[in-house]
Amino acid sequence: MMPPAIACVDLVRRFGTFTAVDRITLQAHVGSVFGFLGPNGSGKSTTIRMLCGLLAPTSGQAIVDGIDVARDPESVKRRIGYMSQKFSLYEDLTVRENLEFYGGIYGIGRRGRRARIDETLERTDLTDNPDTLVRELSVGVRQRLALGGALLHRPRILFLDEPTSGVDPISRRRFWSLIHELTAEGATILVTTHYMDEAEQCDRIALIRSGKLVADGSPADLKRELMPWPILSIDCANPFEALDIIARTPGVRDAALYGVHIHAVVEDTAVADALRTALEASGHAVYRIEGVAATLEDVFVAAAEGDADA
Amino acid sequence: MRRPRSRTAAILRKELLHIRRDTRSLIVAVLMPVALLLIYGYGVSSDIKNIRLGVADWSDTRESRELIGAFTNSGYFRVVRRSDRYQDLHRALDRREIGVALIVPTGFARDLARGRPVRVQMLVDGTDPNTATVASGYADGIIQSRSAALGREWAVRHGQPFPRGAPPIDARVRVLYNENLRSADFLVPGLIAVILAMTSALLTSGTIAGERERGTIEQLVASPLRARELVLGKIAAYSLISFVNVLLVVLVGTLLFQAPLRGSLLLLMLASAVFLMAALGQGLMLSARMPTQQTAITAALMTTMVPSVLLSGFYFPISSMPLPIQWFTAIIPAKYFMVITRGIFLKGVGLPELWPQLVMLALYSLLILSAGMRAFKKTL
Ligand SMILES: Nc1ncnc2c1ncn2[C@@H]1O[C@H](COP(=O)(O)OP(=O)(O)OP(=O)(O)O)[C@@H](O)[C@H]1O
Ligand SMILES: [Mg+2]
Repeated sequence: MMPPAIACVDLVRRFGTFTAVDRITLQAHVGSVFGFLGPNGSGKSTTIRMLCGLLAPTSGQAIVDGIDVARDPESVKRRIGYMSQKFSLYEDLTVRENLEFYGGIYGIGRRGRRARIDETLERTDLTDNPDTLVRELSVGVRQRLALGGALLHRPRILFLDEPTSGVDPISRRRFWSLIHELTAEGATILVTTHYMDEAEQCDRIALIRSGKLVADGSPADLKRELMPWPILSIDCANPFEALDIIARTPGVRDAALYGVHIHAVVEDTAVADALRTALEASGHAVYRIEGVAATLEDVFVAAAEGDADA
Repeated sequence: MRRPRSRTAAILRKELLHIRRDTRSLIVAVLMPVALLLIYGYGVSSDIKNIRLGVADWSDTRESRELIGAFTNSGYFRVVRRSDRYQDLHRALDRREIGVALIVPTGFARDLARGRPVRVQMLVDGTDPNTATVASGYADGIIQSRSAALGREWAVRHGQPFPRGAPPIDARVRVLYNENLRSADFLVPGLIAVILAMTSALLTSGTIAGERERGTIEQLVASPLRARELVLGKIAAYSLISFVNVLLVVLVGTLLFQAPLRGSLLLLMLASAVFLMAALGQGLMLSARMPTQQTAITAALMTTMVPSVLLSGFYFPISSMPLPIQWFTAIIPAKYFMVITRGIFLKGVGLPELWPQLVMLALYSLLILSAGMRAFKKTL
């Protein structure tokens, strides 16, 4: 079996007395998309920075592409592509100039650089505006350019820190089709996101909270493990008020608004009848109640609340 | 092994693009040194009026009163003190109550009448070199024209020139407190050193701190770029601007202020290049160490302006400083560069005399550049 492209064991990072990353252990296999999820401030970016050799871990070990990051961070840097959470290209340079610069600092010789840049522009759909100043680009286009910068030297491992935040849905979809294209070519991608539809597309997901690993597995695994209870989707009048009534009904473990519907985590689907009765008794017309499959969002909400008491 | 060089070149090209895109800053960067030189240079040579004059007229004759009258009528001098005692005038100079003392000897009129040159003594307060230069210049001029007039009078009366071909009045000017009076000639080469020290460090001080503030540093740290390549690339880019500055200030200094350039221009350029490495390196080192652009720029100003003006020998001769401060001046690069610019401009000396300073500058540049490379960490 191939060794994992990215692996870390008991990775810890403290800032003073505050522990931002608390004994994180994970593995991403070659050619897979690894989703890294967690609320704001949970330690995702800090973990990525340690994996990329930008930040020294307080303890623990990270191995990327078979190299111990602490021992030889510069070798790791040559082999990976990194897209930071904060946009960090030069706004007073054009798209092409930024890529030229990346080509230069990654040591791509001048001869091959031009072709490589054209290829990257093509891939990231930037052929329309190679000579536009970055300052004038929309967020979506900027993010594609940042990805282009990370791809230019053809790294086998990519770290993308919230690459699609602030990007419209259509651009996000294009972004993800490129991610799948890259993994199909054998690249390994570790990506953080707050979007559930993106999380669903990952081969494997790690969920962290307050620096600790809460769950780790494929989306299907996580749903099975973390959501052993059935879920009812309820469509009724005045869902905002109804939420309270549903939550108080015996047999309901948890209820949350899910778009215009309510998702209720129940001990048994038979609770549906009791719910209908309770809602109608309080004057809420019930249009439909049906069992649905758990989504990742259900899983995360449950995991976040479940562990909050732990 | 051409990869590292290509990384340095990539930094250089990127910095040049930044510089080119930010036209306003570029104009400021190019014009500021010249503007400073103009402001300061004209400040040096500006007209000074109403210089306070103290007079001891031991002759007390029509002739001596005419001489003193020539001073007051010139509009440049105002008699604020009269005394028969030399000591009084000296004390007045000490207290800066007067700027110039004029002493006319007892036999002034008598000697002139006999066709013997007379000596007039002048004391000038040299603590303010600019005023002192101008004041002695005026006094000299007044005495010479008075002397010429007396010579003509003698010739008319006696039908022959003043004896022995000597001018009738011989002015003995003594500058107190600043023996080798600094003239504008003397100031301009020093000023060039001071201005280059300040503006060059200022140029680079914002660059790394700026990348940190904008967040672009993260991408650099994540790349295989080495500290050495970053530092050299940035220095190379900014030294182009700095070198334009050198050419401009030397041009303005020699053409407009007519500072004599007696030595080799080539050596001056070479020494400037070495000095620029030190100054730009200092800015860059601060930029790598300081958390924000603002603090880095402030630090660059503080660490270049004050020492290069006060401790480089520009204003105050280093030999008259307290010993510990004299030792301290050894770490100020502008001190060495000032010796070089003054040596080349005023004395026309070359490498045989100036190599020790050049070596010190080169050492300083190497030290500060490697400190800059060490200051830029490849972690966040
Ligand atoms: N250099 C630092 N010094 C001190 N604290 C830091 C530093 N970097 C991060 N932190 C803290 O560590 C915690 C984790 O930050 P991190 O950026 O890794 O979170 P994140 O999961 O990426 O959050 P987000 O979703 O908002 O990007 C936060 O509380 C943050 O304030
Ligand atoms: Mg983050």
